[in-house]
Amino acid sequence: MPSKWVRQGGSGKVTLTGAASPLAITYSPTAGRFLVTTGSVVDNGAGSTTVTVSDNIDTSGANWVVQQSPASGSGARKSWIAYKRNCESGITTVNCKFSNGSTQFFAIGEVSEYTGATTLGTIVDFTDLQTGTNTAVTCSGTPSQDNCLLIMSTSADDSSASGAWASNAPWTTLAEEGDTGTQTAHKSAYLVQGTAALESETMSYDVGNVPHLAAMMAFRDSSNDTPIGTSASVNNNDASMASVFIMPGAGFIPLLRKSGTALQRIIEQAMGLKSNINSTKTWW
Amino acid sequence: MLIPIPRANRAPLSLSLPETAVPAGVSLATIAITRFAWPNPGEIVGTLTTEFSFDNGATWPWVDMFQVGGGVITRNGLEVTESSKSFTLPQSNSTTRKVRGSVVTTATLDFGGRIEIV
Repeated sequence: MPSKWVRQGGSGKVTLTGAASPLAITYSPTAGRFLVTTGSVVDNGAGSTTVTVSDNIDTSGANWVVQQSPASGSGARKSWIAYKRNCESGITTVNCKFSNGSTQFFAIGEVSEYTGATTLGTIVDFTDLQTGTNTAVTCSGTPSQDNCLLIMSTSADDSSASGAWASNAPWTTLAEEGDTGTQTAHKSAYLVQGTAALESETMSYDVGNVPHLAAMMAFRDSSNDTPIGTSASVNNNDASMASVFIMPGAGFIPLLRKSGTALQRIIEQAMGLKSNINSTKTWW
Repeated sequence: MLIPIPRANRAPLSLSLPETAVPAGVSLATIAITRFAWPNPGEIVGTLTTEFSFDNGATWPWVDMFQVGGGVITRNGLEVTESSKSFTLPQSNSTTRKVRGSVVTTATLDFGGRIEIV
């Protein structure tokens, strides 16, 4: 059944301080759900870090897709958002792995599960990756359809003093960290948007030493999977019946190909195109 | 309120922190551990798990796990001598907040520290 996004639960926040990869997050989602991990990582100064994600069932991480923010500062601080559609049964641990040779990473992460993911086509509506100022970063984008799930993951340099993240209401916080001991500050949050509109979200942390970094992604739900022209039937001038079934992302599927003005008008109306009932153009 | 943790060389331990009411007015808690020559570099040698309830223990929606690596931790070439963790506690006027958790260490660790509650 088509449905909108609902967060069904999550691991809570897991923090790794000065230990080797991976950041192992214990969580047992329900099979079939949309699984997302967000987090931030910095190493002890060794250099660039690439984040990959796997779990105890999908050990190679083949079904995980990872999006990373730009990096900045020593230790290549960055944030990530990684997702998996239709997760497998039996997952108990999600491993966020960091690639370089360091054995000392400072990382914060969480895992959440959601229902409502689209079952058609591309699930990512847009991605925005940003480098901000030393005290704030803004991501923005306009989803192409209603009811998208927006997730933002941000990191900030925290090595000089303990600070605090500003509120991001009406977004719901997934994980927030702002103390000196972890060597990186992090905040991630989500919002289920109603009507598609520009979403511009700023995350602010007051004591950063280097630019904040962020990733925002918008994911499509299944409420838009509902056919917009369902079994439209027409009694054409040859007295036969024709039906079309139109689904966004899948194009329209003619169950019985027909041409003619009445059928053409229905198709055009369903697709939001200008109708011309006098047209004799053949569609197929 | 400041609660000092005396320095000692402590064997591996597994402690359960019982369910405890968080007094109204408390908005920040910090635990800071001073590290003295810890073993097992790169490995997780200590885990503090904390759960918070905002409805007198009926549900525990807020879970926080803090894992600390062994060895000498450095950051930008400087030794990190303290592993600390702060908790910003929402709903500071509430009288129905509770906390519970556990502490597990997997190596003998020489440490002292403090717990601060504001």
